[in-house]
Formats: sequence, C-alpha cells, structure tokens
Amino acid sequence: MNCLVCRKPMKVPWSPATLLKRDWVCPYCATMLTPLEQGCSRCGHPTEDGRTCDDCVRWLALGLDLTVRCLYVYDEAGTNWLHRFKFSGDVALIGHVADGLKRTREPGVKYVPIPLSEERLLTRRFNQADVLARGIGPTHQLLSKAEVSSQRELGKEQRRHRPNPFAIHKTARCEKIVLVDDVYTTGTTLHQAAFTLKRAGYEEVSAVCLFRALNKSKTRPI
Amino acid sequence: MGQIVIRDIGIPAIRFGICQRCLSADTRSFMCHHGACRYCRNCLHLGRLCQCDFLGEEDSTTPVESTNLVMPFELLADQKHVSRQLLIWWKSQTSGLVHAVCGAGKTEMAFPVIERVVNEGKRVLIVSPRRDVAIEWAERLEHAFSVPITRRYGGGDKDTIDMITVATAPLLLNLKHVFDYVLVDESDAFPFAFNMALWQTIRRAGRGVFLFVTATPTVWQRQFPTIHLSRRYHGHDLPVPTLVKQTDEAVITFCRRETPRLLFVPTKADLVRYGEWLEANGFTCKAVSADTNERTDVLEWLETTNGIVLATSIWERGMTVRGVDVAVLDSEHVLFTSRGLIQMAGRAGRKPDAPTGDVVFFYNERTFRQDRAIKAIKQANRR
Repeated sequence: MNCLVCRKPMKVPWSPATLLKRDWVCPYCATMLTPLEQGCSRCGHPTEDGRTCDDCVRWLALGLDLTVRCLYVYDEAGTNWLHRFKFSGDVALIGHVADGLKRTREPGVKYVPIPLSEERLLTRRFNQADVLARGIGPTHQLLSKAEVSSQRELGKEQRRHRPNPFAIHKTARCEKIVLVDDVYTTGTTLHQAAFTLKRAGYEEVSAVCLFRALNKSKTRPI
Repeated sequence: MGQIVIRDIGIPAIRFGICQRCLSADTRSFMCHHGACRYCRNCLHLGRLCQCDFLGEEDSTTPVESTNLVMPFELLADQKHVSRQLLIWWKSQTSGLVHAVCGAGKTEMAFPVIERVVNEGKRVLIVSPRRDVAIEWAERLEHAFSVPITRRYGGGDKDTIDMITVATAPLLLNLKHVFDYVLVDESDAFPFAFNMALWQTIRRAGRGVFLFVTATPTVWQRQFPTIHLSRRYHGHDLPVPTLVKQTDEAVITFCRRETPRLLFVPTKADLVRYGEWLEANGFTCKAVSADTNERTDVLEWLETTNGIVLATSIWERGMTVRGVDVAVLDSEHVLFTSRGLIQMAGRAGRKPDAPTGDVVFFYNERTFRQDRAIKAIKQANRR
C-alpha cells in the first residue's frame, strides 16, 4: 500500500478496517499539517490566554458575529498541501484531512460551501470548498458568486474593502447553517457570505475553515 | 509521432479506470463541474488529466539539423572498440547492452554513435535515473555537440524536442514514438529496475532501438547482445572490497584516515543513528539522503576538506570524488543488493591521478550478496 500523500510504499497496520479503508497516510505525512491550538474563541488565531483577537474585535465592531472553526495552521506545509489540492487538482488528498473534518460534524446542520464563480468553476473543474463540505456532511449550495478578480495578490486593505460578490442562489428550510471554506486570511469572504445569508433570513450561521493564515506579527492584525 | 496533449477531440483520456497517458490504474473519482468524473493521480505533474478530457498527438519536434562533434579527449583502444560496436548495432538496428565497469568513461563512448544518428536525421534520447545525473549528461553533451540539447527533467524546458534530448523517466510519459535511438543510462537503477510501467513508457517514447548502459545489468537486460568493457579508462584495477567485522573500533579506525571518507548506510534512520554516534566520538560528518537538497555542495565539501559523509544508496551511482575511501556499514542489510554493493565499491579510485582507494564492507553477518559483489569485481579485474 502506498501513502496517499507522499505515494511511497508503507506498511499498513492490520485490523478488520484494513480491508475497507483505501486512503492510508504514512506516519511522517500524518504529522505534516500543524493543528491549530486553542486561541481566539471566534476564529482560532493563537492569542494570549484565549482572548478575542484584534481581527475579530474589528469584525465585531462592524456588527458581524460569526464563529469560525479553523483546523490547521496555514504554514509552509499547509500552503504546499493546499496548492496540490486546489491548483494541481489532487482531490483525493481530502482523505488526509477527512478525519479532522468529520470531527467537526454536528447533527441537524446543513453545510454550505463557498461557491466559485461560473468561469472559475469551468477552468478549475471542481469547487474545493464543495469537496471539503462533502467530507463533513450534507451540503446545500445556497449561494452564488459573481466573477471577481482573484484575491491572491491583494494586500490586507484591498482585501477588506471589496463589494459583496455573493447572492442567494436558492432557498432552503434549514435550522442551522455552517459555511465551509479552505483558507481564512482576513475573513472577508466568510463574513460577506454570512452577511448575505443572514439578510436572507437564516438565523444561525457559523463557519468551518480548513486553514487559518497566521498574522505576521502576533500583536498587530494583518 | 509526438507529444500527447489534451485536446477537444481525440481518444478518451481515461478508459476503464486506466490513464491513457501514463497507463497507471491510480485514478480516483471526484465531482467534476459536470458530475461524477475520474482523474489520474500518477501524472499530475504534467497537468491534470480528467475523464472528460481527450488526448491527441501533436508534433512538437524541431526541424532536423546536423551536428559536428568535438570529442573532449581521444578514446582509448578499449573504448574505441566499444563505440565501433555501437555503430555496428545502430547500422543493423539492434538493441544492445554495454556492460562497462564503474568509471570506464561510458558517457564519451556513446558520442560517436550519437553523432552518427543525429547526422542521419534521427532523434536521440538519453534517459537517466536521476536529475543530477541528467544535468551532468546535458552539460557534457553541450560541450561536445553543436546542436542545442533539450533538457527534459524537472526545471528544464519541456515544449519542443530537439535532435538530442536528455530526460528523466517521469517526464517521458507524454511522448510517443519520437526517438529513433534511446540510450538508457544506469538502466538497473532505482526507477527502472523492476518497474515495468516505466519501461513501457520508455519503449513507447522510442522507436525500437535501445542501448542499455550499466555496470551491473539485471538478468532481463542480459538477453540483449552484450559488449563488455572491464577496464577503467586509466587502466588500473577496480579496488576489491575487504570484508571487516563491524566493531566500534574498526569503524573508528576507518574514520581516522586523512582521505575523504564516504560511509554508506542502509536507511535514513541509520543516517541519524550513525551521525550521532560519530559526533559522540569526535568526528564531524555530513549526511546525504534523497531529502538533501544541496547534494553537490556536500560533494564539494567532501572533496575539499577531506571530511566524512554518511550517505544512503542515493549516492551509489553517478558521483565522483577524488581519492575517496568507501565503507559500507551494515553491508548485510537487505537493501544492499549485490548490484548496489558493486556500484558503491565503484565510487573509489575513479580519477586517473588517484586511481586507487580502499573499499571496506563492514559486516555483522556474512551474506551471499557481499560474496557475489566481490566475486563480480574480481571477475571484472581478471577479464
């Protein structure tokens, strides 16, 4: 059996599950991604004694309350991992984080992936947030997104002040909604999506995010 | 007749769960924008191939040129004999095997036949097992030949195919029936040995005439007509390994020498273990494995400072250090095959100004692999 991530041969521990499980990760690759330790109660960014981080204080001042559950630190290994997953299109890598994603699952919740615009979906062929959301639980595509330029090269200020590209795609009756995205950098995308959903009448909205990008300096937010 | 590319029309890219570009069965299903689909995980580095893609062929070869050859040095009588044989094989379009000992000047022997093939308007491919070996080939070829060399390894250009191409095997996946003469260097090294899929890709890239060049051919490669060259170009014997019982004192005595010392260990874990043990005994050493990025820097360090380097079998081929002494620790380990041991012994005494060197196999147990390696080296010396 080869490791899912590094594709090198590895020994598989014998158990009845051996016959059912296909995606095995070798012990070296299993520790590749750094899990996020306890930090800000709202976004998971590491802070002293778990107080709300300055980024979140700013969002709260705007009257936007959204709890984001982040799983891993967006460091060097995380960047490489996400690049392989998203831009090289190695969708099977989801098996590497599937256990972590499954653990965030709650009963009676609809998972809403952050959509891609039509044009982007045609070039990338798949929605990475949709793949993540399917890894957690039942999904519902409630949002649609207009074509906007990529955020990758933008700075923090330009990222924050962007028009809301999200619109309601269709409506559904659900109690609680959890948004799913891949990276939380400034949080603009998730907050804009949550704002759109709340305005459409959904009461409870929270979010799950795979990676949390850490601020360069611990004191000053991005 | 050319490069396999993704097109709007052509053959389906994945049929029956088999990727039609790299022929691997490691395809996975996922949700494409139109619904359930499959993609190939094995050839992601060439761009993702999805079931909804189609493959076509595109001629990416450059116009035919002729070349002139400037030999870096005059070939010796033995080498001339081999290169004449290569020309005969090319004339009769037969594949062959050059069984030449380590450090016999295998690269330069192939130059005349490459020149002949190119001047007949045919394309040549040189496949090497690793990237650093490919770079070395490309540099030597560039000095000798007047045509541009295509470098088809990680970091090279991959768009066109000139008359002479140097490549590593994974980047040949998307070529079909392009090269009239394929030279497989170190044809028993890690990616080729026992990997029939890679051999299939090389066979698909070529047009039927192959030349295997190695010091330690596998049984499968011996089916081809063989020419032996069992003398190094400086005419000295290959250093015959000595078997020494592995004790702490014996290894430390070996490490006390003044020459550059190269110690082979079986696994990466041993690299750490022996590294710490040597540090504790007051030696400074560097470790080399497949993860080490600046291997050439370590090579220079070893040559200039007469230091100690611990290496895994990554360095068993294609590296030359002046006057090095080689030791193989735990030489009874399963990973040290007799062919690997022969290659490691061949690291010593490769330069004409330092034609001898000591090779020591440290053993805890005696194995037939050690005996076979020593026997093969002695046999080559007798021939």
